[in-house]
Amino acid sequence: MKDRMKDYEDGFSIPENYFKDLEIRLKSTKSFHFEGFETPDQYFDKLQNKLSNKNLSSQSIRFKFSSKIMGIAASLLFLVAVSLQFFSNKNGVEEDLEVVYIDYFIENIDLITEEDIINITEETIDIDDNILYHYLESESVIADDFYDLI
Amino acid sequence: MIDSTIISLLKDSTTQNEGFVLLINQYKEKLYWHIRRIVISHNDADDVIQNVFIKVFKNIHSFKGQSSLYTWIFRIATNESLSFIRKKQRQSMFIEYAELVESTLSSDPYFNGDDVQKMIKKVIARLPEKQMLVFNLRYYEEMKYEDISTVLGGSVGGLKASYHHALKKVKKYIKSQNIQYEG
Repeated sequence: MKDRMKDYEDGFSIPENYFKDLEIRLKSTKSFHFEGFETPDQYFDKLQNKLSNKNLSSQSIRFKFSSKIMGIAASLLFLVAVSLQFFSNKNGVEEDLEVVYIDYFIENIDLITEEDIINITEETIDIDDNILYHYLESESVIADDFYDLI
Repeated sequence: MIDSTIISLLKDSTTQNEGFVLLINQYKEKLYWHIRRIVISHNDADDVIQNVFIKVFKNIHSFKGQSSLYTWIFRIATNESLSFIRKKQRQSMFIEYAELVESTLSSDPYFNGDDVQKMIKKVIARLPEKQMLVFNLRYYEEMKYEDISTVLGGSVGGLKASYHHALKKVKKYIKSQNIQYEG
């Protein structure tokens, strides 16, 4: 069926409501179909249902509750971590240095002991008895049998 | 008129569920297409739109009415979509947005566009972010510059210039590719 025509003075004619239709058609070319996008069947109805069925009020209360618990748990964890750090107060480097120092100390103690043993002679142990007595008296470690020894 | 009804229903705890249903009914399609044009894939758009509606619901009390609900929601949707894209870019070793769009278009089962449609999407994705957003809002959504200014910030004059540059670039690229585009 031929569209009703609208005639112009210069002889041209166009279908009635052509420009109105043109606008609609032009707008429709910018629709998502024209862009190539699609959605699953009845997507918007399903989206509406899915969102409407969400109980957002209770969800937000649950969220607040859980964030409070999470906050307490995080604080406790932080305290434990700080305590551990405070009491141990060692890191890997410090521990390594300590081990090296202990090893060095043991080795040197051994050396000193060995040297002392080597250098002990009759002269080195010839200590004045009075000096030794006064030293031991000041330290209050005089044995009962000290005088017997003298 | 409907926006003021939605706001008052949402702000009242006894009617907020009714307001939420009305809000979704009013904005689901407009928001979906705005988000989809940024994130491209249907599944991603579905995730983002749900977050947007939940954010609107939870933050309605901070809406002071200095702008319209429509632009406020579009602002939230734009920010959510851009955050989503940035997260996705980080997960993909900071891939360029244009590359991300290209790979998403190829893998999205809900995109059935032909080569020309795909090409136009890629051209839009190559635009600077602000120009891309202005182009989407002005060309597809036919949003007024004043409203775009509220959504994206910036002056109306600046936005007009952005749209003009974007449109010029898209046309130039299409011409250079010898694409017969009947738009």
